[in-house]
Amino acid sequence: MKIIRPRFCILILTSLLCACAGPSLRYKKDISNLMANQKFENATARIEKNKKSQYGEKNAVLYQLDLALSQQAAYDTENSISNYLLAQDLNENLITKSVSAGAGSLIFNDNTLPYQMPMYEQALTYFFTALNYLAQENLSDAAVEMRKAVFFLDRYRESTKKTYNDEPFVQYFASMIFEEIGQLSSARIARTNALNAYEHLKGYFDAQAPSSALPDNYRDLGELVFIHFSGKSPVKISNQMSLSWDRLGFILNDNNSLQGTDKQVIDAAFSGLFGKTIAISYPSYVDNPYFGQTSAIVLQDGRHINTYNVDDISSAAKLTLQEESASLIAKTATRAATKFILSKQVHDITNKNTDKKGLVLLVDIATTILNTATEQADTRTWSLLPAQIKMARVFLAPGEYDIDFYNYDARGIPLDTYRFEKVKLKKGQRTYIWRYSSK
Amino acid sequence: MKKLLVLTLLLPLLIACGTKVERMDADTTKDLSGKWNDADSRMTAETMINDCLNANWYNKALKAKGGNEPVVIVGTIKNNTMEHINTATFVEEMQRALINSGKVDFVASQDERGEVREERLEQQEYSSEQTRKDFGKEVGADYMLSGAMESIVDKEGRKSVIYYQINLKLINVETNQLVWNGQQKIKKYVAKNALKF
Repeated sequence: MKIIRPRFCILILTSLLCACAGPSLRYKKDISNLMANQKFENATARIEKNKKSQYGEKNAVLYQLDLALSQQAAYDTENSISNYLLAQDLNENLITKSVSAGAGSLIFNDNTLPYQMPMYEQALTYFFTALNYLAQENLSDAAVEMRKAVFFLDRYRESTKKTYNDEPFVQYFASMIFEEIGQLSSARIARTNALNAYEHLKGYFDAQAPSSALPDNYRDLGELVFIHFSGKSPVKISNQMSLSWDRLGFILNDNNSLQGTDKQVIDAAFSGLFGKTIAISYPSYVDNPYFGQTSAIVLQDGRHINTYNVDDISSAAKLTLQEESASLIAKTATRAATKFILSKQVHDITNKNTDKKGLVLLVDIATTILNTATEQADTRTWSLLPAQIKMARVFLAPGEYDIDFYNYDARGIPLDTYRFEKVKLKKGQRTYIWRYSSK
Repeated sequence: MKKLLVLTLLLPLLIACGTKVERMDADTTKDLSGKWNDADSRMTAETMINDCLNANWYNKALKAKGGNEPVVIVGTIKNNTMEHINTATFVEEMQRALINSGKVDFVASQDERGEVREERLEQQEYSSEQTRKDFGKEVGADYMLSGAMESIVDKEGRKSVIYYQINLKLINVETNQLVWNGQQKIKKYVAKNALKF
């Protein structure tokens, strides 16, 4: 029994323990339900309570994002800003790559790597943070966030060949803020980039550029900008396939569609349990059901102002994954090959050092179980994000207004209502209000 | 041997758990992230105010006021950078440099004036006649100092160059004449580690 040394076992187990796969599906569902039921403070408390158990150090960015968004939904803008900024900083610091985590991702799975925001999530953090600052009437710091957004997006667009190479709504929002602080040149550039991106993503995104029509007397009016965080973004799940390296190459078995699968395939995969199978996994998105279809704000004079989609986060998530699939497959294949080589070496060493066939079989089973158990797709994503961002804009005479919000299902029945009381509109200025309603 | 192994394994954990705090001189320059910090704020304020008070406008102003020091107020400093810079700190640094120079008189900012006026208003009702202060005796500023902070960032991977440009203007409150225009530039090269274990 010389070959299976305790140190080796410790190394394997430690690496396994480090492979934190991020918040569980059940936890994400619980938080999502709390948010859908407008229990934002409860969601915040639950997120804080589960910092270590569900997120851990590797998912620190994800923790800050979930926390910040739940606080933003509750209009706790001060804390929300701090957490978004911390998430941005942590994400920025991930530019320093961890050698151990990198090696872990090659041998075990991508969950050994710290969570890093994809382009659309990072861009949205700037928008959300700016919105918080605007609620504090701090236009200067909102502008700082949008400068960061534009800097990030412009560099991203220039450095990628992907279809989804810019975030149209965030660019548009930046142009609105630049316009407000009188930096018209920056506003024009951001607006042009936004419109180009909306046009470019027409077939992929269900979203349109916000209306920029102005009434004749707009200089005497204030503008109300209402933003609805609508629906639930899709859920990323892990799919697993078994590759049998036995004799004739490999036999595929997709465990998400076992029904109707040829018995021979299942048998072959099962036989792999006894030392000849390598599992590979890949992520995919499934829609997260919600009922909200349309929404509107209703003014005191009875006017209904319908919202419309200005950002399609659901499609952004799917398109991002789709465009990453080639590199994900390449990485998964490399990992499968690494695991196979390691399994083979363990098998050969065992075989060489013992003539007990039972022990060799036992070691084969152990390595297969280890390989299969550690093979998990990276299903981490900012799950509290809405499916869409909807917007309504209206010009009103300066003053205070009570504004009612309605989120309707497909039959036009309200799922959620909320009254914004005494919303102040000032002459020549914009007032921003928002509601997270994901039912 | 086993004990030594356990100790070796535990040592990094023990070191990693400790928080180290040390007091440092407030004037010490310590750069961590490469972003705008207190040292930038202090050095820029001192350099620019020194430049401002040694420029031509000063002697002209002294002459115009019959040898009396000109009265200055610090207005708005706009933050046009990509960082959340607390411009209030910068304004405070400039006020300190101006007052300490002894070359100008200085009046409170708009916010501070509002607070003082409220106090004066309350004094009319609650303070004794001998101690209450009258309205209409404020000293009006002759010049207003305002400006903007700009930044240009050039970034490639883990390396970046951040260029700050601080533009200050001194404007004659009566005539709107621009009497001084100062500029301070700071350039920083920031390189983050490529790898960690």
